[in-house]
Formats: sequence, C-alpha cells, structure tokens
Amino acid sequence: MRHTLFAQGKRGEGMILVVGPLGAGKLDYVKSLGYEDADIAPGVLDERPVINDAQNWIWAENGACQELVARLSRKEVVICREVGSGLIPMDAEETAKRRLVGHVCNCLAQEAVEVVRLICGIPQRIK
Amino acid sequence: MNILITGGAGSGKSTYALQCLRGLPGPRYYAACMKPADAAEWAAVARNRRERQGMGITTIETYHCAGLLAIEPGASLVLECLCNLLANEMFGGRNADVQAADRIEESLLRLAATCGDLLVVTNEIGGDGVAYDEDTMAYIQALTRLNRRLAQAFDQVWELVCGIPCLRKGNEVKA
Repeated sequence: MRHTLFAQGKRGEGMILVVGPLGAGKLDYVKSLGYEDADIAPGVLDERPVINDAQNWIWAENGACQELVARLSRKEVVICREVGSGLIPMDAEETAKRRLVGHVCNCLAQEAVEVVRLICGIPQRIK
Repeated sequence: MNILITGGAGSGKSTYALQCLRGLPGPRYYAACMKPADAAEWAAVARNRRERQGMGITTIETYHCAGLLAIEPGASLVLECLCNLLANEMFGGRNADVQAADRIEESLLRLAATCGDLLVVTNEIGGDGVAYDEDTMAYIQALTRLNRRLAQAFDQVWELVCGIPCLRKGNEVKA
C-alpha cells in the first residue's frame, strides 16, 4: 500500500534516496518496495542494488564528497541515516564527519529520481 | 515575513537562507553569530564572507543580541545561527546564564516586528540520545524551547532535509 502511495519510481529508473533518523523505518520501507534481504548490502558497496547504512560507508571511505556521490549514485536505492540532528560535537573531526554525511546526502538528493524521508515509520516523498 | 529555517548539520540551511535573501528587497544584511574558535573556523568565516560578496549583502559579525538592534527598520535580515547566538549569550561568563534564551527571544521578536523580512537559521540538536552534563542539557532545553517559541510567532517554518526545503508551517509562498 505504501509503495503505491508514495513510491513513484520503478526499479531501474534511477536512484532512490531514503533518509531518516535511527529506527525511523527506512529498511522496512525499502522492503515494501519489493527488495529482499539478499538485495541489501549493510554499509558496503558491492553488486547488491541497495546499500543500507550508507553513512557507515561514507565514514569508512572518508573521501571527497563528489567522488562518494558518484559511486553511491549507481545504486538503485541508497539508505542513509540522518546523523546531523544532535548537539554539535566539541571535536572538530566529529563535526566534520556529520557534515560530510549531510553534504553527500544533499548532492545525492539532486541526483535521485526520488527522495523519501521516514519519520515514525511514515514515508514522505520530498522529491 | 518572518521565517524560521531548521534542519540538521550540513542539511543545506545556509544555502537556502542565502538563496531567499538574494531575492528579497534591500538593504540586505547577514548577521553571522559564530565566534571563530580555531583556524578552520576562521577559514570558514572568510569563505562565507567571500561567498556573500557581490550579492549585495552586508555582513555583520555579531556574537550577541545587542549587535542586532542597530539594524534599520524595513531591512531584510538573515541571522545565522540561533545555536551560536545562544551559546555566546549563555556561556560568555563564569556560570551558564539562564536568562539568555529570554533575552534572545525578546530581541528577535522586536526585530521581527521592525524588519521587512527576517530569516532565522537554527539547528536540530536534540536528536542524538546522548545524556550530557547539566549545563549542556540546559542549553539543549533552551534552544529547543526557543525554536518552538519562534516557530509559533513566525509566519513560516522550513525544515531542510538533504538540501530540500520542506514546509512545516505557513503557506508555500517565497519570502
């Protein structure tokens, strides 16, 4: 039901960006689009069409924003946790890590055919 | 019109606020409240100032409310950001100043009444589930309450998500 209500894109039409805080229901939403566990790579970039916890991959790579965006854009679905809504850390490196995830998501959103934001399990299509 | 712009770190709030300000009638002001603490922050201040050059925007570096009161009536103003302004007002002295948030609210409501358009950039800071020390918790409480108060008083509230402005209050007309 949620699929027909909110997801306008179809597999293969372009990348869908799914964001939301921890526990907001991002993974359940992506499964509701027809993806199975075997399609979903946890924090790694491989042949599977979906990457979950993209923020962990971004931090592990810690590269230039544009390069990270180019590599993530090739996925069918990118699931990324929103990590910028906490107190701004005293540690500059921690601050930079959160901002990097924010900036990568801003650029991914421009590339995406669709951006879906989850709150309390409720998907909102914001692009 | 008075507008509150919120969102997480790196969500595109500044870019959106500046984009709005460029389309507003002059005189246009940008009040920067961040007190640079290290070389990286000084570099950020210089970069942001350069970015605004040529946009017809006058930058005011102001770390306290008092610096905002000189802005002429009818001006368009972006204030960035509430979290820095509150930190400066609250933690300037030996002890945390519990009156700081009230002082800021009063100043901003006065500005809202006199400015042509006022855009206040704030932050979402309550979303990390971490228990901090007493002063820090008081700061989070004060900022989130200030956000709620301004949201109630202002015409529009936007939340930036992945650089996309999402309207949370008001009608979808540009400032």
